[in-house]
Amino acid sequence: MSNSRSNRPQSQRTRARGAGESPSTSSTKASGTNASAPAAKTNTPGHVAESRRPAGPPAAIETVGLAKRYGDAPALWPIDLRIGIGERISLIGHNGSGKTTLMRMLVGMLEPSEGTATIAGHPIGSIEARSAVSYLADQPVFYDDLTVWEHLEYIARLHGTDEWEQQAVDLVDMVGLLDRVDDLPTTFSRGLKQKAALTMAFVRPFDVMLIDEPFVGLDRLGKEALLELLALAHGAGATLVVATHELSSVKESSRLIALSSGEVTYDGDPSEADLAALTEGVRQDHD
Amino acid sequence: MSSDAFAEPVVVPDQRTSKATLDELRKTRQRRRLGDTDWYDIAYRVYLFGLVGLTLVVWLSDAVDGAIGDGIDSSDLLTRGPSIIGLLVVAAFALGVRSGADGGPVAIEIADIRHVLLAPISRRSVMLRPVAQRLRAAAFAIGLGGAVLGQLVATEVEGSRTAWAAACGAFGAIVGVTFVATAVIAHTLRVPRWLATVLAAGALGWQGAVAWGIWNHETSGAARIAPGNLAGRLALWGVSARPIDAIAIVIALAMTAGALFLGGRLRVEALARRGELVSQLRFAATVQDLRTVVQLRRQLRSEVLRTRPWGQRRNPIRPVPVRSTRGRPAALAAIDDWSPSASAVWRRDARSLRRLPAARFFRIALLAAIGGVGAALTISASPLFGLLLLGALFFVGLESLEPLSQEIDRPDLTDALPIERGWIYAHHLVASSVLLALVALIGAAAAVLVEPELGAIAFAVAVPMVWAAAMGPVVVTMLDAPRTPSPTTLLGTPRDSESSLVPPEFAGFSSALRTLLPVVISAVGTVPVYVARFAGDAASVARSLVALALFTAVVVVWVRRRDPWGTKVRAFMEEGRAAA
Repeated sequence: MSNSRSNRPQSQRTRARGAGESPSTSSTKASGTNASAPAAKTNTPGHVAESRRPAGPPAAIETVGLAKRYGDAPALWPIDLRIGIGERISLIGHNGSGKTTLMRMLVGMLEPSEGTATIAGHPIGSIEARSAVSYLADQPVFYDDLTVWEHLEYIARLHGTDEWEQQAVDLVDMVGLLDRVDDLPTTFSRGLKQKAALTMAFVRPFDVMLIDEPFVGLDRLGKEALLELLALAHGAGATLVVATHELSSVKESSRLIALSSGEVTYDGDPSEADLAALTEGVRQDHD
Repeated sequence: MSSDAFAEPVVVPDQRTSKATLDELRKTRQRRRLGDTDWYDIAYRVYLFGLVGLTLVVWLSDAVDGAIGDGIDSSDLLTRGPSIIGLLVVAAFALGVRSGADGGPVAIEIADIRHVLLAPISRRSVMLRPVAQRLRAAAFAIGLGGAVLGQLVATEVEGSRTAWAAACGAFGAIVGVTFVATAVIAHTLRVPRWLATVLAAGALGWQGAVAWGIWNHETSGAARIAPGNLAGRLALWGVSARPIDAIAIVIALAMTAGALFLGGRLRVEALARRGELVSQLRFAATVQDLRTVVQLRRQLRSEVLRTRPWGQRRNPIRPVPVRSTRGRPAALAAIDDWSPSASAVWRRDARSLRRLPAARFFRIALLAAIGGVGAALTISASPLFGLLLLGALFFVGLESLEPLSQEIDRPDLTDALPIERGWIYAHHLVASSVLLALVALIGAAAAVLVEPELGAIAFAVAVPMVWAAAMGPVVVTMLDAPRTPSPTTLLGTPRDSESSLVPPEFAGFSSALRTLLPVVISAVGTVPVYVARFAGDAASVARSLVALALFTAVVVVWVRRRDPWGTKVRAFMEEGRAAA
């Protein structure tokens, strides 16, 4: 799989090789400075950027003091993360912990209140970052007047893909929507909408995929298809970040990040984590 | 499917190709929309709009005849007019800069945000069309209004109808462009709200002060310069054209170019927030749901109620200690003893009103002041200013009925209480009436400021007028309350079951009636002002106040007894049907 991505830019090829990059080298632990919100809260963005910028090869996702406030209410305390190419991350946390806020900032839908972030070495929201990142939101959104097939066509073409048709056929077949491609997705049930949104997230090329609550509304076939798609994309060297409450899926990931009240409370090996405690907001230090 | 399927390299696509794809997407959607359009329905709406519009213009032409002030000649108009008319363009600037700071004025579909703005395509090319459409729509709509107004003005002042229509139309277009372009520029420059407020207040204050000075012949020379004067003078080209005023057109064009150039920098976060609200707003506007429109506009401005009520020191999240009743005012204790339920509702409402944000209080006060000015000018200048008074009173009421509005929007919570709905609704009016009484005093003060000789009469009529005019918004709000349950079915009659029986020819009229009725009810509140203008004696005004009090009482009783009356009416109708 890595070979097939060999025509990517140099930084990408380097990272395809580093798919098994250890979390311990690509991120700081929750007990360290990066996830320790109280220490970071006093830093100005410029200071954060200078003092915390980790050395090493470009990461798939890198945040430096990334924070979000709504008025005076903090949604996400300053967070430093470094996610290597090809990592498969599970992002967990209770409702309101900041998972969606973090994802929306990374994808460029929300503006950080402070701090910076890059996707594949490019500032979030830039045209290069938008090329590299695919986002599957928790609430699927479609045009009222376009069919599933037309959505797939335009999304693929807007991302510069000419030969998208076979991929689109494979995707809709996989999720069981082959008979419904000429229907309007706005008329679908919640589960079918989620399946349609899945195909749209995967029909275009990407280096990084951010997925927010992907299992909501999916039936068994849908869940299996999604897990298979994630495995295939991961196998092709893509970086995956999956925000979920489905703790059973966490074992598939190579690294677990837990958020609680906008702070990182765990960052490390999923097998060593007490998942139930983490979703309740209990901080755990990881060696 | 294999991993190879996801091996395609990520590249930034050629922008010309992406733009072509985007154009194709938009054309496809446009074709589809046109194909789905019910042209008969559109033609019917155009016919209705044209008929109503024409009737209105003809009626206004008659009403205007001799009503635009007495003794205003052309030279006076050219001296005093520009700075006053310029207030409109400065107001557009003020509203625009505030709108931009709040994330306005452009809204696009949420699907466009997810699928197009997050795609690797230049945002300037994506946003060019929505920004241009917004500019065009504002310029056209306000320009059209200006042209109609120009026609009316031409009946009173020298100059040809065509010249007046063209000049006022151009002025209207400048007002529209100023609003949208200022908002886009303020948005893209990330002007903070406080600065937007300062800029808006500064510009309005400057223009207002100059207009006031010129009106009273107190200023001369450089003191007569104000930002909206050139545009204001342009509106008077119907009397005489002055080439230098064309600078206003050049500035408007420059602002348009700036807005189009900067459109790509509109914030995705703000667009996403507005995208969801605006689709609801359009729907509410389509069905003439005025209350929802006002509520959604508040949301568009990110206006939320305060977590901590004004004047409360303690954080309500902390456990509230049980208070001793000792030391409490005797009146409050007496109310508690008299009716614990009423006391609970009133206290809840007082807290609700104390949670209104400062911006809302400011808006209410401003509307009250505008209403006061409108009332004073209705009496002293022209009865047409009554429209200004009516609009201000209606929206003051709508803004002040927060407690009732909150209750109506949560019928399940209301029905869960072991108290009759109407009783709760009626008691929600108490706190709002206190607020409205205070607001009325602001209006009276503004009226006295404009016409000092009004003096005592302004304060005498203000409170009853504001209360009576608030009955329109009360009715608007109550129309959203659940219908009376049918006496013959356990679950009640679905709301739409009756309206579905209404022939389509009448559906439009009943919808229009639903919109107009509350405005007509509010208009009753302006009666004392017209009595003061046309009768002029205190006894007549006093009689009109008694009538207003009775009218207000009738509406309040309707709020209280709506459900039992509705049940009786339905039972009567069903008996009649059964007999037939």
